Amino acid sequence: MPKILGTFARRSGKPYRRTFMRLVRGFAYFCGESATGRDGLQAVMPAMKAIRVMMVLQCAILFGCLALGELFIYLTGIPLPGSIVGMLLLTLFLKLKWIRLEWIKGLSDFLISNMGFFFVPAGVGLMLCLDIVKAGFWPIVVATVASTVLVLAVTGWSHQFLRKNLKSPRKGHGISGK
Amino acid sequence: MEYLENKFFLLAVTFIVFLLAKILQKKTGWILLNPILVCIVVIILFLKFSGMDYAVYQQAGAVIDFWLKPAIVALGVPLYLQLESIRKQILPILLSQLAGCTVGIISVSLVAKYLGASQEVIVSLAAKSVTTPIAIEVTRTLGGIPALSAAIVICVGLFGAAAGFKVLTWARVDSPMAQGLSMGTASHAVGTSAAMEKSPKYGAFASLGLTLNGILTALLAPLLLKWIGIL
Repeated sequence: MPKILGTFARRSGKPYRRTFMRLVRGFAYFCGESATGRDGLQAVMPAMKAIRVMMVLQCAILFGCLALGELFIYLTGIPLPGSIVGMLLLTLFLKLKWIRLEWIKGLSDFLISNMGFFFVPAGVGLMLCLDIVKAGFWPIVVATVASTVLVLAVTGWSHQFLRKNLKSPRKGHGISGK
Repeated sequence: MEYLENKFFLLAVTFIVFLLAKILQKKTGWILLNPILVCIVVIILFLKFSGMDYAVYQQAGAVIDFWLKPAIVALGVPLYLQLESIRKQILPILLSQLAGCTVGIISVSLVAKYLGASQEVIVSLAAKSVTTPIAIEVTRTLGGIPALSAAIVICVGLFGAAAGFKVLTWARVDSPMAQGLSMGTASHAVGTSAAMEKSPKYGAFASLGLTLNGILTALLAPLLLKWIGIL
């Protein structure tokens, strides 16, 4: 947290800093802290930053990208999910350094590590279609399993094969470890 | 009992069942006990036995699956972290994606046809490997049953997430990138989350597979189905 504080302090120019400090003092006063000395401010700022800036900033970035993705689909009418466009936009903004990694890492790690759980309600919705599935149960199951196994194998094989045989003259691929 | 329809009660049940399922899988190590699958089955049984309408559960369910879209956006982070290694193999990636997508659509359609499935069912099966919104769109355009597609997509995702890595090891696909890519291609977002559990590197390639396969299927499905004489 102190690191992020420093980042914000460095990046803001003098006049913004003054206004910001006034805001922080006001907030500290509001919270009942006697924020007269620097110590008072230091005590309040981490808490304020931790709650206000990090959470809201992360959500702002994430939902902002999602909203932009949906806007793109709305304007162009391409039949793609807005969330995928949003994902590509987030990658783009990170690459362009418009967004710093630490600004969304926490929330994105949380969401990604729990992504499986978010599918439960959709799966429960399956029960609505149980009758339709019964109509063609075995063809569906066999076709699905066979095809999925095939796709896994074919994609994997072709990727490995092509990587070996289409190797660029540059050696090494700069892949960081796990 | 009206309390059973309480949104927060249903939410608590969902969370707790999932947690227990996770612990169970850890203790036994059975792939079939995938926590997502177990949780779904338990909740379906709970709803059936209590006679509760799905619409009632959906009040709680909506709170959970609301986070699906943001979670997909969040995949942009590991993707960004792997951009360098992706760029170095852009051609193998694109070509293997093309191969995987084509094989997927053709194989599922032909197998279903020879097993006697009806036209609509075959068409609903075609988009099975891509994420639900795309699958529903493609199926709707081609004249299949969107609800069936959604169900199949989830089954494919669960199957891929549970057994995908085993299949890949059996097929002797060892490179982490190839594994990740295949997981995302064959079983979309659920497969990607399984890949993520292994390591962010797998996960990044899986999200790449998820995206590319989604786009390619949306573009190629009509053509491929016409070509093999189903449409």
